[in-house]
Amino acid sequence: MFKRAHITVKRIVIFLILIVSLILFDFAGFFEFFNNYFYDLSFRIRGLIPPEKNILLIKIDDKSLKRLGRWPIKRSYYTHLIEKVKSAHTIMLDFIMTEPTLEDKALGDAIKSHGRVMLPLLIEDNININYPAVPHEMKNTGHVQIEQDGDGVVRSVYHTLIAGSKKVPSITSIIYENYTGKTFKRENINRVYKKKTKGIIQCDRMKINYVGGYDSFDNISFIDVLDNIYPPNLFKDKIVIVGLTATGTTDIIRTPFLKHRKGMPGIEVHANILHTLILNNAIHDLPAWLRWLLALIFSLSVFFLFMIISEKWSAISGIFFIISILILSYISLTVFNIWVAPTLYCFCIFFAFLTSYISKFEDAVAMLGNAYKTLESRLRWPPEDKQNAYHGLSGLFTKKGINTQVKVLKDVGTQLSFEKELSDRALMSDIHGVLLFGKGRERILINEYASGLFNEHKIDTSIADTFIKSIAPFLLERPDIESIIKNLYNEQGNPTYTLAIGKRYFKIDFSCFSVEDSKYLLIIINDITKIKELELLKSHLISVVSHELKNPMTSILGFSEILSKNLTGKMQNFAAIINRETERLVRFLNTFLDITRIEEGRQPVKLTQVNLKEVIEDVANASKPIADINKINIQTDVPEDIDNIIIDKDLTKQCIFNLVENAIKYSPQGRDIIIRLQDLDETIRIDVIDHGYGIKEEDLEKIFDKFFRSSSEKTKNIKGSGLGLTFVKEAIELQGGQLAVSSKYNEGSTFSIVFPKQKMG
Amino acid sequence: MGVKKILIVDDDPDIRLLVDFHMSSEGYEVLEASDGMDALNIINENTVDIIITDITMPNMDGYELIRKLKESKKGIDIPIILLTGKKEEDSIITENTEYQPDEFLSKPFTKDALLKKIDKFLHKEQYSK
Repeated sequence: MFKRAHITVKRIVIFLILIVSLILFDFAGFFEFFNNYFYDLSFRIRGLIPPEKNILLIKIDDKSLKRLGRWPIKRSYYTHLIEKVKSAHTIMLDFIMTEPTLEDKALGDAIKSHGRVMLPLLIEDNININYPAVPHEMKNTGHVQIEQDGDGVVRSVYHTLIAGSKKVPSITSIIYENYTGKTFKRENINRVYKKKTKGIIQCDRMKINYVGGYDSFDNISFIDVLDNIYPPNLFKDKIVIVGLTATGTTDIIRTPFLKHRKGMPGIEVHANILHTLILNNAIHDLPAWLRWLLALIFSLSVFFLFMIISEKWSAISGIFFIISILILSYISLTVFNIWVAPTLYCFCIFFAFLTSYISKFEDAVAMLGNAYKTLESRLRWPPEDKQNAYHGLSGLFTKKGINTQVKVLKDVGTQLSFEKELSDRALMSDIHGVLLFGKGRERILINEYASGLFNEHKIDTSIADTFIKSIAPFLLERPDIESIIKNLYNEQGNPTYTLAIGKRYFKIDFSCFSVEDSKYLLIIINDITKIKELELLKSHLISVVSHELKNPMTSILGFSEILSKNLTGKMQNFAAIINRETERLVRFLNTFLDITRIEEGRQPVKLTQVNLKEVIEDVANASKPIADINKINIQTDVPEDIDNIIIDKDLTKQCIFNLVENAIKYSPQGRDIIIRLQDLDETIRIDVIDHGYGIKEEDLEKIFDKFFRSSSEKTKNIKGSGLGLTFVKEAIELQGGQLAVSSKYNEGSTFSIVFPKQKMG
Repeated sequence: MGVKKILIVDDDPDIRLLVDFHMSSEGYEVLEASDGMDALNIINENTVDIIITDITMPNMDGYELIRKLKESKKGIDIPIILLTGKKEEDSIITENTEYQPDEFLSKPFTKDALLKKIDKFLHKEQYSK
């Protein structure tokens, strides 16, 4: 379907809320575990970078203690050591020597004579500072506090501690200053100091750039040095760190390199700190605000991207982004010494994917909802359960929603089977022939009736066009086949033709309908042989009967005429009645035949340019004799100029005459009749106005019906067939005109003929 | 010329009688034939001034009679009035388009209508006499 999700303000806001929450989580340290894991992992993947050779470790290891006795050993050994390594640039003795011993003086002399022997001091929990008992120089002391993170891994060091009012530098920062001659830049203590006044304040945090794991630095055994195994120039200008490594005598410190295995002793950590300081390659964190701003921008971009690509590509690119971020984070750490914690970004990608996926899902569900709505509107009976539970996500994610959908689908299924059964029975039953052509004009359905009929006459039904061509000779109407074929798939107008084939007649209906984008042509064939035969029989019957009637009527009319002229008295009267009534009968019969002819479409219409003014004069003259009998004056009201109109002159004349005759018949003596002709803009109108008995309102709409006769006291003795007005109406309509009537009972009627003015040419 | 002779051709003796009565009273001589064959025989033996014929008749119908007459030397000039069951204006023969009667008269007809039609062909001569 479609891959894009609709990007709406609501969705963007929801996503932003999610991202801001993620940033808050990040701020609260929820991702520390993952970040630290990746941090440590990066170090392990990077592996050992061979350290500078200017740091040398001298270990008091198991081998040394075996010779020198149990820990703590005599301090005179230190004195000896300083002697042996006196060519070293700096010597750090990583031993807390706060209790005095007898050997301190000698050691103090050795320290003093070397000048750059660094000693650790101890800050107690009550912020008392314990300085070494050995004589020393104050500037050559520093703290050896190593700060563990929450997971016990040492990743950073604080180079300045503030205990009470005392500022204590780290021993490594002192060595650095001594060794390089540079000044270690410390934070503005006063500013920090203001924040906290109790306990130890930690300043100048530095992330240690470990060179490797355990045993990365050059190291030698304490006892071997005392035994003079190494030449004295080995130590020349080096930083020598002396410390305890023997089993069970010292804390083992966990570092990124040694997460699960053995840690490293303190002196190795100090060596790493010192190495970081000398190479100036401490790891720096990206500022938090920048990290969060990047997260916001990055996640919005990813979100918009995910909204417009398919979910498959979202997933693939999402995984790609996560891997890229981890790799970039690794490269940034190991090459540029900048730590970009990747977890927040990974979560951002994940949430962008999730939000876009749910959005697409929601869109899909909305489409499903629309599909249901469309379905609903197309159902014959709307679903009983009209709950909207199937709209929106709740329609898919709740039991109730799914149940409603199941119910609706079941209902639809039932109705579909009903519809199929219905259409099968209606269309495929053999009451009529059915043919269905698809959009490629190929036949997709035919019932037995149609296939039987067309096979019998060897008519090809496989393609709509060839089918139409092969039935063309059998169509009574002889339509233009090319235009039929051209307009077959045109939904306007469903043509109907009569098919006369093998002594049988069929009504053939073409109708085109479309479902979605596909158009279909449905052809229904009805056997109308019986109706056709009846029609023929009827017209034959009418013709025969009327002609058979006419001969005897000729005799009756002729002889009664002779009798009425030759008899006298009452007898003459009786003969006249016979004569008059026969005339009426003849008129009735003629009108009846006229109507039949119009209805059967046999009435020839001779359209010519007609001046209605003349026609009306003719009618007025022709009706004068009857009017005179009834002492009625016929007035004409015609304009000077009138447009010619294209109609059948004789037929129209007869119609107007019939109306005038009717008006005379239904008017008392002496009431004038007006024939008015009006040239209106679009039409020409002829009104025959009488002031006679009028027509009752309830009869008005029935007076044009065949054989209908209005009944009232005054008109009940007037003889009529009830066919006159029917004929006029049908004859006028045959020429494209209209006949209307308005009347008031007892006041008179107006019959109006209206012809539209045809456009010339 | 003597009395004008009218030939009425109809298988219905009542119609013949009627035309005979009407026309005799107007001073015409009326000859009668019951079908086309009969009529042709009479025309051969007599001089006929006008023929009034029905359409439907046994042996030879009105159309056939018209055709025969219009094709013969003797009959070509005799005016023929065809009695029709249809309206006069609709009665133009469509089946045999070659020959048309000179006039139509719808059945049933009055004496006046019949006289009018006949006068169209014979009136002038009567006065010119």
